[in-house]
Amino acid sequence: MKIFKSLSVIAIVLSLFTNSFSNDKSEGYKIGDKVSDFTISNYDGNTYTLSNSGEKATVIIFMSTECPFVQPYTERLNNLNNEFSSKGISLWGINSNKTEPTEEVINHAKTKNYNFPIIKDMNNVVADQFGAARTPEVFVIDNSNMTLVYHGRIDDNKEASKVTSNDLENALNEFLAGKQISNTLTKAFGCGIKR
Amino acid sequence: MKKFILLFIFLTVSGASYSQVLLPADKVVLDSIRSANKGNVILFNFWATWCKPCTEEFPDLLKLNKNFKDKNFKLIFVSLDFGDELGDKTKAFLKKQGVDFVTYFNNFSKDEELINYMSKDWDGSIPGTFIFDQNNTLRKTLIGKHNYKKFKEVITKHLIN
Repeated sequence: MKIFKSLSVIAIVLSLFTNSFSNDKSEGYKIGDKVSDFTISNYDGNTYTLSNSGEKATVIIFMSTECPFVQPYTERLNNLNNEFSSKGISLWGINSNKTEPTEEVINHAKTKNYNFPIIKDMNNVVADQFGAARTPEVFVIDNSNMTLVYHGRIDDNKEASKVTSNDLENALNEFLAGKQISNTLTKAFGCGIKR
Repeated sequence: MKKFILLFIFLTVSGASYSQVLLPADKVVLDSIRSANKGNVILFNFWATWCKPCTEEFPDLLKLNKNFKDKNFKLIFVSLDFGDELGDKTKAFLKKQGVDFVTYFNNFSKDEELINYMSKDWDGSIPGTFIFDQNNTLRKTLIGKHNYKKFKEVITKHLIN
């Protein structure tokens, strides 16, 4: 476990444009905003750089090991990753909760068998940059111009059988088809990110 | 439906001790609570038993309720616990906290409808607290855990008579 802890030391390089970090923290991003690049050296030994994800778009989902609004989404998120990873879309789960240490995040990801990376955001730097407030909370970034194109929920019901609107999936399909995303901003209940 | 509305208006206004009565809250119910409490400052608190900051601030809200109960103030708890938790977990928590008034649970067909009903600016994070003045206008939104001092400060500010 010591190895995990030492590996989990995260170096985040924020190549800021004009805004200072404190501005990022207070305001977050709006649809169409340019997103500042970041790099995280994760506990899994990989380095994740937003601009180098090498894909058409990156889906960032703020996650939690405990939040009951997150737990029912495992299968749906794995299915989304299966569907879109081959189409040039990367899905990253980010855990920014101060109350959920790296070791817990690792164990939880193993138990859940996520098929996409779960990245530990030490000191909530990425959450602050995006203005993320809750889990689950989704941000989709168009990697061609590093702009935010979707912000909100995965779908409209934590119970899979009651979903009537697959908002994230719809947004990604529209994005890939080169269409304007019809619903760029959606809301859902979530657990506050513990900073 | 009318009978139901009359029942909860009676329970809400009378302040009778109906221990751990948990009623469904949708738009019609919340509208009725607000109109029945015109003249009162209303504090809506959205919480869940599994939400640690929610349960941590809960006693402070009860203290507020106790200290302001004779001062045109109404506290409305709305639980976001899931269906299978409401029966045991939610009621057990309410009982442990000594809640002896009617509380509610989310019964909107879509969560986003409730979120937008309370405030277009609310992103859905809980705990979420919304304070309406005596004219039924939303005056303050508090997202995240707050303490008695903060709640009291906001209530006092909007309690003009």
